[in-house]
Amino acid sequence: MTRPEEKKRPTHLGFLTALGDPARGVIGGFLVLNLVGRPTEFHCTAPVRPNRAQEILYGATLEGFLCGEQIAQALVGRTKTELAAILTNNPNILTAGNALKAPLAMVFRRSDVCVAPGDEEKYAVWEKKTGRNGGEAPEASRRRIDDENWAPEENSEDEANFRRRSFFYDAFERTPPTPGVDYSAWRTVAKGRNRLALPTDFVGPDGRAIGVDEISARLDLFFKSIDSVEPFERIRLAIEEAQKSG
Amino acid sequence: MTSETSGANEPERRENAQGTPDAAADDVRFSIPVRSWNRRVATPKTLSVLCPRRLLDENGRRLEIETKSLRLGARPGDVRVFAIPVDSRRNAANVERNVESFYFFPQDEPDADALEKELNGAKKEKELDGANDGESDGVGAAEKSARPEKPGVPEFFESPENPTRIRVPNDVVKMEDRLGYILQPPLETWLGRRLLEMPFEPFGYQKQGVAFLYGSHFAVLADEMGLGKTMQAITTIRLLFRSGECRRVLLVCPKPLVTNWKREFEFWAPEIPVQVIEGKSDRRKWLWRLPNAPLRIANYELLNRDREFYAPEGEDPRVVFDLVVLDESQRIKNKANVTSEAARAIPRRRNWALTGTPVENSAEDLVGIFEFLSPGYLKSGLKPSEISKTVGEYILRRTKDKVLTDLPPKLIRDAHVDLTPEQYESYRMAQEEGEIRLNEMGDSVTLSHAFELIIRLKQICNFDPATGESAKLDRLVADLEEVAASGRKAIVFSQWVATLERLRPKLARFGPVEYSGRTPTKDRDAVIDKFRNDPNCHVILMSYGAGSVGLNLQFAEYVFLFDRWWNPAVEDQAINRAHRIGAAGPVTVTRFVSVATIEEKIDRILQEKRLLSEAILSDAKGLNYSMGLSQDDIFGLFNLKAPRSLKK
Repeated sequence: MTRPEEKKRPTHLGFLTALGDPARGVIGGFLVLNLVGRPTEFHCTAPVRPNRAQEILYGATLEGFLCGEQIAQALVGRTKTELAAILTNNPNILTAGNALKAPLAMVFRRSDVCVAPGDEEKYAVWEKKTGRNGGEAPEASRRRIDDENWAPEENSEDEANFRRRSFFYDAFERTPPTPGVDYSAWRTVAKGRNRLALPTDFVGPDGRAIGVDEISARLDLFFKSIDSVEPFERIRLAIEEAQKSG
Repeated sequence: MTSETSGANEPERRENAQGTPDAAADDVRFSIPVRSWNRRVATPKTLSVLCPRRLLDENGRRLEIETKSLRLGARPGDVRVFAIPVDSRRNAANVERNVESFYFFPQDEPDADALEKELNGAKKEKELDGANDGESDGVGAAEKSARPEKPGVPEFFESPENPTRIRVPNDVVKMEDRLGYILQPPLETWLGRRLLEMPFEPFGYQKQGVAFLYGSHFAVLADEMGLGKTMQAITTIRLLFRSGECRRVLLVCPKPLVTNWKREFEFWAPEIPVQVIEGKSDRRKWLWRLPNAPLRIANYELLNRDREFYAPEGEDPRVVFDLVVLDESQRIKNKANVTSEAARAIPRRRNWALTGTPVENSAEDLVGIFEFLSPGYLKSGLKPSEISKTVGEYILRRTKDKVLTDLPPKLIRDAHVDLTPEQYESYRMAQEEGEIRLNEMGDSVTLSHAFELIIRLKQICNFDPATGESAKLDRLVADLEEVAASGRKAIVFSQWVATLERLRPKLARFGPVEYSGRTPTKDRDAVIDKFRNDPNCHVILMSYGAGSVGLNLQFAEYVFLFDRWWNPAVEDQAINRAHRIGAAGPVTVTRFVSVATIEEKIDRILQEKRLLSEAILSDAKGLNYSMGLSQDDIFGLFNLKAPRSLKK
C-alpha cells in the first residue's frame, strides 16, 4: 500500500487572479505552470458584471462573491491537472476558501508594506510627507521592509494582527480588508522576497487534511525556478490579448 | 483557444442548502463564459538526448556524446551511449559509457523528484565551478572580466522588476499562437533556472536579442560586431531545444569560423551535441541525413557541393531543419550567386541571418538576404526609407555606442602618409601610363581594366616596386615600437597576402605571426593561441578575407589598416576583432592613407557608403538610393567617364 508521503508530488501550480471592478466588469484569469514555469493551461472569463439584485443582496461582499465564488470556481473547474496549490494576488478570491480543489494561497509582494501595530498613524504621516516610494519608513515598518525573511511568529501579536488583517497595508492599491474573508484561516510564510498566506485548514478532494508545512514544502520546489509574483503579469497580458480579439 | 458562448451573465437557478429552489438566489448565480488555451504537446516516438553538462572518462577527459536518439520512457542508468574524448577525436577508440543522467528534448516537463535531484547536482557543480575559477578557457576568459559577476544562487528565484519577455511577432495572428508567446516565462526565469546555467550573466540587450529571435520565424540579427550575436543565437537555440520547438538545427558559417562556432557552443551550451559536417563525400552525406542530430554546423563552401544530400532533386528531403541560421549572411547578399541558391534550397521551417553588416554595398544586399529568409517579401528597387519600413520589424540592430556604454572607446585616426620621393615617382608614372591606356581603349574598356589599375596603384602606395621603399612601413614600425615597448599587441590588416609576406621580415623584432588565406585551417587556432599567449609576439598580420570575421582578439589594443578595403563594413568587421566585449582598454585604430593618391579618393567614397548603411538601418531619410562604388565612381577615380557600353 502506498503511504500518503510516497504519493507522487503534484508538478503543476495554478495562478488565479481577477482584474477590473464590478462596474466595468471583472475578468478572471487562471494560468497553470509546470515545475519550471512553462505554461500548460490558461483560462479566462469574459467581463462579468453583477445585476442590480446581486448588488443589493451581496452589498459589501459583492466582489468576494464575484471573484471567489463565481469566477474562481468556474476557472479552476476547467483544469483536470492535479495542482500543488493555487496562488492569487487578489484578496477577493480568498472568499473561495476551501471550495477549490487545491490549497488557495495569497501572494504578497515585498513592497506590500506591512505596518506594525501602533505605527499606522506614524506611517500615514510618513506617507503624506514623503510619498509612497521614498523617504524613511517608521522604524518598525522599515525593519520588516528590509528583512526579506520576515514573517510573523506563530501566536505572536503580529500574527494576531495579520489574522485581523488590520495592519496589512497594500502600498499600491490600498485594498481594504476584504469582507467575507476569515483571516484567521491563513498563516504567512516568507518565500524569498515575497510572502505567502497559506491556509491552515485545507482539506483535499480525497478528504485528507493538508497542513501549512506540507503546502509550504510543495511550493518550495516551484519557487526555486519561478517567481511567485511574476506569472500574474503574464495573466494580465494574456487577458489584454484575449480582450483585443473580442 | 476554445470558448463557451452561452450564458454570459445569464442568471441560473440555484438550490439552497436544503435542495429546494431558493427564490432569492434566482438572480445571483452566473454561468461564466470561459475561454481556454492549452499547450499542444508533440509526442514523437523517439527523442534526441541532451548530454549532461559534464561527462568525463576515467582519466578526467571530457567526453563528447555522439548523437543518440532514445525511445520515450528510457530512464537514466538504463542507457548506454557511445562517447568520444573531446581532445582526441581522431585516434581514440569509442568509449561506451553508462550515462547516469541525461535530458530529453524537450526537457520542460520534469518529474518533481528528478528536478530536485538535478537542482541539487547543479548547485554542487556550481560550487565546484567556484573552486576552479581560474581554469576558464580562452573563450570565456576575455569576457569574464567584462561582465558583471553572476549573482549567487538564492534559495528562491526572484524575477527582476521589469523582466524580458518573449516578443510576439506581428505576423502571428492566431490567438492560440499569440497566447503561446505571451504566456511563456520571461527570459530571466528561463535563464535563472539552475538547470539552464549560463556561464556569464547576459547583458540586458542580449536578453532582448534572445527574446527577439525566440519568436521570430525569419529575422536578421544585425548587431554591430562584438556585441555577442553568437551568444544570443546559441542561447536562443538552447531555449528552443529545451522547449521542444526545435529538434534539428543547421548553422552555416564561413569555413574558418567552424571551429570558433564549435568552441562557442561548447562554452555557452555544453549540453548540445554538435556535429560538424565535414570529411569525405560519404561521411558528409551520412551527416546531412542523420535524422536525430540536434545541431549541425556546415560551411558555405559545402552548401553548393552537398546540395544533392540535403535537397535531393525529385525526392523529399530526408531531413527538414526546424531552424537554419546563416552566420555572416552577407555571403548571400547577391541572390543570383550559387551560394545563395544553395542556401535557399535547404529544407527548413524557420531561418535567421546573423550579420554585423547587412548593407555592405547597396540596399540590394538586404534584398538578397530576405530572399533567403522570406522569399518575395522584400522587393528590389525600393527607396531606403521604404526598405526600412518594410523590414524594420524583422531586423534587430544595436550599436556599441548605444548599448555598451561601458566599452572602452575606439579611437580612429587617419595617418596621412607622404610617399617617399622614389615611391611617388613610381606612383605618378604608373598612374599616367594607366590613364592613357584606359583613354586609348575607348568604349572597349571594362571594369576589370580599371580595377587592374587601382590595384596597381594601391600596391605602389604600400611598397615601391623599384626600390622596395614604403612610407607606410616606416610609420608602422615607429608605431609598433611604442606598442611593443608597452607590452601591448597589435593587428595589422592588408588586402594582399603578398604585402603581409613583405611586412613579416621587416617586423621580425616584434615577433609577428601571420593569419591569412594561405594559413592552413589546422594551423589557425595555433596562430591565434601564439598571438594571445606569447609575450614576445606583439603583432599579427592578417588579411581582410581571413581575419575580418568571427575572431575574438579583445586583448589587442591597436589595429592598423595598412591599406583600405573596398567597403567600410569589412573594415569595421576587422576593427571589431579587437573592439568588442572584453576589450581591456581603448582600441586605437590607425588607417593609413597615402596623400595625393587614389587612396584619398577611395577614402571619400567609403565615407559615403557608411552613410548609406546608416540611412537604412537607422531609418534616416533623404539620402540617395545607391551610394556604392558605382561604375562612375570607379572611372571617376581617374577623371574618366564610364563608357556607354557599360552603362547599358
